[in-house]
Amino acid sequence: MILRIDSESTTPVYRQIVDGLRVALVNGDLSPGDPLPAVRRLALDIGVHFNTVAQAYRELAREGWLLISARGGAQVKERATPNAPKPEAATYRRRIEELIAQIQASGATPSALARELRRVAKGLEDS
Amino acid sequence: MNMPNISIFIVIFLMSVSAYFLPRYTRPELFFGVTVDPEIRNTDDARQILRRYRVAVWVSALLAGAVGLVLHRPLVALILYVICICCALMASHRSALTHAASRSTTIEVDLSAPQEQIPGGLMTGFLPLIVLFGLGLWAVSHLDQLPTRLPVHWGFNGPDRWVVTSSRAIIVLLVEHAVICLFFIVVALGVLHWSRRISVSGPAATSERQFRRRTVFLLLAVEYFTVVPPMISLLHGPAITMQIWSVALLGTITAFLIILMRAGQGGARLAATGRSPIGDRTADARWIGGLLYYNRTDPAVFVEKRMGIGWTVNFGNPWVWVSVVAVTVIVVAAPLTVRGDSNLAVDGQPSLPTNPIAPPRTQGASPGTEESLRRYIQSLEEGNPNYDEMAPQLAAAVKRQLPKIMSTLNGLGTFNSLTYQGTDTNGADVYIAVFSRGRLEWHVGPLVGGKVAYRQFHPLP
Repeated sequence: MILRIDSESTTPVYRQIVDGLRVALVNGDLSPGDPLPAVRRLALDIGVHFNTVAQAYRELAREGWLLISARGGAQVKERATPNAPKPEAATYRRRIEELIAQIQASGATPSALARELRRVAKGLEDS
Repeated sequence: MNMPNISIFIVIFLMSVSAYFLPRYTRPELFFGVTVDPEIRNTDDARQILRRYRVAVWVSALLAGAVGLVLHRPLVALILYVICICCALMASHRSALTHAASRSTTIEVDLSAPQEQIPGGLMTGFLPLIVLFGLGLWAVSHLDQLPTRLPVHWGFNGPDRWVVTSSRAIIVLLVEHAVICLFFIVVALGVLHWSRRISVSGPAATSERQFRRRTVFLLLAVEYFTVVPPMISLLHGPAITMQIWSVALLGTITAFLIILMRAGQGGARLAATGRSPIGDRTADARWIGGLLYYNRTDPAVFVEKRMGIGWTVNFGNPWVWVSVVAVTVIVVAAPLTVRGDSNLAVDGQPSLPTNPIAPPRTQGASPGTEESLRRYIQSLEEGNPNYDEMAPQLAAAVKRQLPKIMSTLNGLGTFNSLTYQGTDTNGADVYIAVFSRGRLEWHVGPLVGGKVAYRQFHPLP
């Protein structure tokens, strides 16, 4: 499982770590019981302060995805009930529209973007 | 030209060969410490930079060699050579900056990468320390079975520096070697746990892991070799064991270095990815002259060297400065601690410990020591020391320190009398020599094959 971080992105690294790990957790790339790298190890490999990774792990732990050990390690947890706050449908739509606008602004054509969205939607329906 | 001088020139030659090939075993995406497209290496401009650098390497070697020969100061030659090579590298780095490529901004991390450990676990690293501790316990409890003096330094012709055997000397000797062992353990742990993974998947990641593992093996091997000299010293091993040890150590280091050089920095030789260069995942702007890394926002303590193979430290990390200060203090203090005990003043032999004289031996002085000392003092007064009555090591030491010995004796005036005082705790006979303007206390070991092997003196108030 590869985590990708864009060092030049305007999105904070801590947010990119949370988003990247959450995608892997939702998609099942990381299963309950899987260990995650220790905070120091991940911080070293990304090249950020330990607190940045610790903050990301803490957020995912709050959402119920991770179990954090006292020694800075983390493990994927069985997550039966969603603990994250449930946003309204309008909020979803707004976030998706913002993301689409951002991608279009960076040069992606509407047809290519629509193709990707259909692929993502199909994946969601199949899961 | 003596052996140490020759060896410095051999070292300069070997360093030149290594420096000549240095650009070949760095990461393909780094050219003289600058992140580049690997194809740049095939351009005329890059070839010219390389050619100029290699010419500078050999000119530096010739210049350092000439300075060493003219001034008879091999150490000065070596320092001059290192400075010249650093200048050549920095000049090449500056030329290569014109070819700098944009580094990929995507950082990839393998979340399922196996955790790397010291082969055999931490115990493998700490075993030499346990051996030193056990050796120390044994030696201190068997002080009476140890020789009267312990070799602490070996030259090309065997041991050339000793300390008088005492609990303190043994502890200092072992602690020094334990600190060296600890240094290697810390560096091995640093390479494994406090440095960045650069390649995340595929053969590149495997090669990189293997490179780290081999480096750790080399560090552990050298750590194990470190334990041998104090063992030979305390167990009174023959001089040939140290010669075998030197050859084995050199052979091991050379074999590992050749393997690591063949693999290239981080095991990445000729492993260009074809994508945007990732270099070594550090920013070019954070490198000073491509040689020193300073990045306060990077938590890494160790980073891959951009020129050559191996690791360097991140000088932006406060822990690095703490370590640098600690290592400097240890390096400076260690020889002082040993000299403080041995007080190598004159005669090439360790001088007296703080409280050297045991109650006089009932059976009197060892046969021949008084006569030999009288003849020695007389020969010194004549300005022609009787080397034929000394064991080779003592003769060499006296030759080396003759000006100091003569200066001490000339200040004391003419020799009047010699009186046996007793025997010191090391079994050497103690005499007081009275001169017209002062007194000296002499310690003379029992004669070996009719020759003096152990003799020292110090002035009395």
